[in-house]
Amino acid sequence: MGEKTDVWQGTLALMVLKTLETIGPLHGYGIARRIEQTSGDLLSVNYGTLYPSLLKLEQEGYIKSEWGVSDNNRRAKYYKLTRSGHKQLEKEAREWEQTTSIIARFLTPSAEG
Amino acid sequence: MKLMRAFFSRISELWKRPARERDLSAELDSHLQMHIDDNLRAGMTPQAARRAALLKLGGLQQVKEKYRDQRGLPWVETFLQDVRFGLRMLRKNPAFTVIAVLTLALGIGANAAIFSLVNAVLLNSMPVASPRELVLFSGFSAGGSSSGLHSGLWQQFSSDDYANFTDHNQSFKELTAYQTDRTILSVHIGGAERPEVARSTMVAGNFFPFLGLRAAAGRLLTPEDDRPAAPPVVVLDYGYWTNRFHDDPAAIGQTIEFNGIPFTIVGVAPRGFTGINTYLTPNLWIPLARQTDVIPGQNNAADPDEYWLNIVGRIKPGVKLRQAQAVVNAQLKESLNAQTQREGITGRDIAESHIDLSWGAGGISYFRAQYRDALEILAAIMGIVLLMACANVANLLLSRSASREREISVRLAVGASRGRLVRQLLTESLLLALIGGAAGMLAAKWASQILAVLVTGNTGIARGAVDVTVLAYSVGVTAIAGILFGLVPALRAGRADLATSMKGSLSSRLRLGFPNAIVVFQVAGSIVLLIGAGLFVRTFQKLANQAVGFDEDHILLVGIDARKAGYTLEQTPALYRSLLDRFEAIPGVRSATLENFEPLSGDSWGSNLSIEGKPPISRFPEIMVQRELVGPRYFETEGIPILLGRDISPEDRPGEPLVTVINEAMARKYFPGRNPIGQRFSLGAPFNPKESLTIVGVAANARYYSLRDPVPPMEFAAALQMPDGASYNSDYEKEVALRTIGDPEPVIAAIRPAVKQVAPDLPVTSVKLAKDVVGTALRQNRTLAELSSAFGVLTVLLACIGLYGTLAYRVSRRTQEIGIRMALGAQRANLMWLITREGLCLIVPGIAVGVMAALASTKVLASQLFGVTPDDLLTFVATSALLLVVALAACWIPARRAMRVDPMVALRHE
Repeated sequence: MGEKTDVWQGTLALMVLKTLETIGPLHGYGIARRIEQTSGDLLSVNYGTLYPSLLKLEQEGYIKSEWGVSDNNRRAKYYKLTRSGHKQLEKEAREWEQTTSIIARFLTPSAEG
Repeated sequence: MKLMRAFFSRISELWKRPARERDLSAELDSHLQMHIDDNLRAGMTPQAARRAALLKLGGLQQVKEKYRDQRGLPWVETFLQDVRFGLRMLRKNPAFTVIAVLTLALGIGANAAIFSLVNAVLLNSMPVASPRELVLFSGFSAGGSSSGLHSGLWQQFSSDDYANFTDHNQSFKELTAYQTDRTILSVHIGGAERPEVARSTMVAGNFFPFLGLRAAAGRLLTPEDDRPAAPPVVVLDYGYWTNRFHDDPAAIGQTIEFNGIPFTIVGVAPRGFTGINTYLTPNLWIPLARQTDVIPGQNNAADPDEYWLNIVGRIKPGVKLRQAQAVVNAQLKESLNAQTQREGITGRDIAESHIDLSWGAGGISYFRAQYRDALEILAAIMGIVLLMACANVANLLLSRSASREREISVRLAVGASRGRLVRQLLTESLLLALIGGAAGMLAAKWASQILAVLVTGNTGIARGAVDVTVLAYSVGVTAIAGILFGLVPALRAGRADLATSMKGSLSSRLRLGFPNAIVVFQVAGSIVLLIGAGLFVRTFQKLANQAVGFDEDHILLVGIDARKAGYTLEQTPALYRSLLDRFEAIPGVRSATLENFEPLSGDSWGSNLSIEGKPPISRFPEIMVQRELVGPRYFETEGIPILLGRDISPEDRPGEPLVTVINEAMARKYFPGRNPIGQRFSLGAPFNPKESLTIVGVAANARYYSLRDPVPPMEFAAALQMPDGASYNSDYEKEVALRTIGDPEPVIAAIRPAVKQVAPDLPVTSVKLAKDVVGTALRQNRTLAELSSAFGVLTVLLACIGLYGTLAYRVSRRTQEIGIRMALGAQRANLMWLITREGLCLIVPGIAVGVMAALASTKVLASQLFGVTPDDLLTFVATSALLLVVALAACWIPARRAMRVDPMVALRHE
């Protein structure tokens, strides 16, 4: 139970950061919606799990929050990527790519045959 | 880095909490609204839209919970929450709280107080540098014994001996020496007219540096001060500085004058330093070189037979104690062999002479030797009392938590985790322990001051401050106990079967065996303590009632030694007469006389004797008598009644037949049924008419040797009739006993001047109050009696509280059952008996167990008892009966409550 959540939390954080980089400042609901969309609706995210993650990212200094007004004129809390958030994102993205390429080598039959 | 940030952010959340909560609620709210809007736009009905949004969010509370976990330091917050809740619970049950706190305070406080005393006396090292290197040149004994040639064991040394050891030192880094006794001085401080009494000890110049001490103010003595030509200086004892000078730094530099010599105060010894003889703490520390100023007329340094110093050494690293001892003993024998011209040394004396080296880290403590048994007993008592207190609290906690079963079950049902529950219950116990501990600390501080004075008679020993480690230990123990006993109900509660406990229970069986055992244990413990207390109290009474036989309140003892002033034996009678006349002229003195030995000092002369007209007894110890040489009007001065015949009179002069007064014990033993007046006897065997003593009087028994042992047969011959010292050993050291009309203390100042008038060269070696001497002998027993009684009462109190608590709880649990019984026709008296019977079921086994335990353990006490045996029937029966009555009284209230139960209310009670 513990492990799965941690891994999940890790990847969720990455997704949040990426989303914010791509879209720019966005509120929690929007981020959740967007993640669902990006994953091609394959991921069914319980929206509630997002908020602790957002808090964690904020505590770690990767994102900043600010109250603003949404499109529908609703008050909403907007999150924005910080400079260190940018850097962290790059770093994690690189790591992921590395991991996946290593795994890919194992999974595809070797050229040497 | 990010972890640090996260951590700090969590900490800061602790006080930002309310704002954060609101923030989150607002955010979630807006989230839901946006989602609902989207759903509405997608065509759902408002209810469906809302529902879908909520579902998608996940449980609102869960989200908040997870958020909170992430946000702050959850365990700290729950802890604080538990604490708040715990405090609230404690406030809601004030009776419980007060009782528990008081119990803990009593247990911890009393325990800490006596533990700190035990610590100070038995366990503590002196506050000196590297105490483990210190070696005493003496066996471990309660000081004051005579030393030297005739006793074999050397504990005190002359100046020559000290110089000898220092010069030929091999095994020690350094040696130092200090005066064995204290000298009482009449001093004038700062030029004041009025003399005061101060006690001084003389020490070698290197004494303070040797011990590695630093002055609390000013400076300490140095080898420079210990030269004959050095200016006269003293160092104050810290306690003396506080009491007499009120910690005034201006005391340094003041003059303190005695025997006509002004000494300058140069500093104050460190706080807590009581000297190596930890029971003879002086007010003043004076260099050895000033001895002739302190005791005028006597030059100890020049006298090889004056054994006035104790020696201490620091052992060289790598040298074993045994080795050092062998070396030191060899040196002693060598030096004795070289002194063949000294009077009275026989080859056998030299062979038997030895020094026992012993580790000196604790100093020579009179208390250690005398009080070890007593203190160990007291410490054991303390342990029991603490256990009692813990048991009580445990019982209280158990009762209370059992009554909270319903509440706990509900909590479990609603979803609290058992772990959380246990944590919360433990926090409550911890709270209780802390509050009780704090109260106990305050009590201890106050109690230990009293205790120090009680046990030691002066506050020099236990500094009165409570030892922090001891306190921490006590609090720790109680906390652990409290937690343990809080754990049991918490764990039990966790395992509770929800359904049954919700319904309430009709069971009248004693379901919880644990509290029963505790109460029985408490009763047993109380009995043990009460019995011990009873025995000590009776011992003390018997001892105190052993009238010492003489007027201790009004007698002053002045020690003199004519030999030091160069008198010959022939000259002494005249000297003594003039002294006695002069003393009697002092205002406030009723009469003065002479004696050889200080009462209760343990010193004595014994001899066999041959009675005229009776066949000589062949076996040496058969006829034994203790002997004293006394001055005229001895019995009148001492306040001892003459039963037959007369006192020694000034008319008994040398050349006339030797007279003696015997005591009652001797009269009964050797002249039963006859009038001993006129009978003669001589010392030694066979009867020698030329040296015989004629009995002229019989005096009442008085105590000279010990308060416990029976008074031996004694004869009191006239000192002034004895010109010939040969038969009667050294006639030189004497005590002058002065009986005063009023308080003896003011007379002290007049003594030395009076002696000076008569015999300017005669040294006054000591001045003591008889009541101090007696008081010291009795003190231990009195303290034991008082303390054990106090603690006995304490335990009874605790046991009763425990008993009351248990029974009260039982009654409340059985209210329903009682109601039913009443409805079915039970009389109130029956119910009272019902409850009382339950109480008895706890009390009686408790008493039985306690009595058996007491029988088994009181052998240990035998050494402290007097006049009662450890299995004294009266004490056992009386204490059992007492406890029974008191315990029954404790049952009475719950029983009455049972009686008063209204059946209607009871039946509806859940």
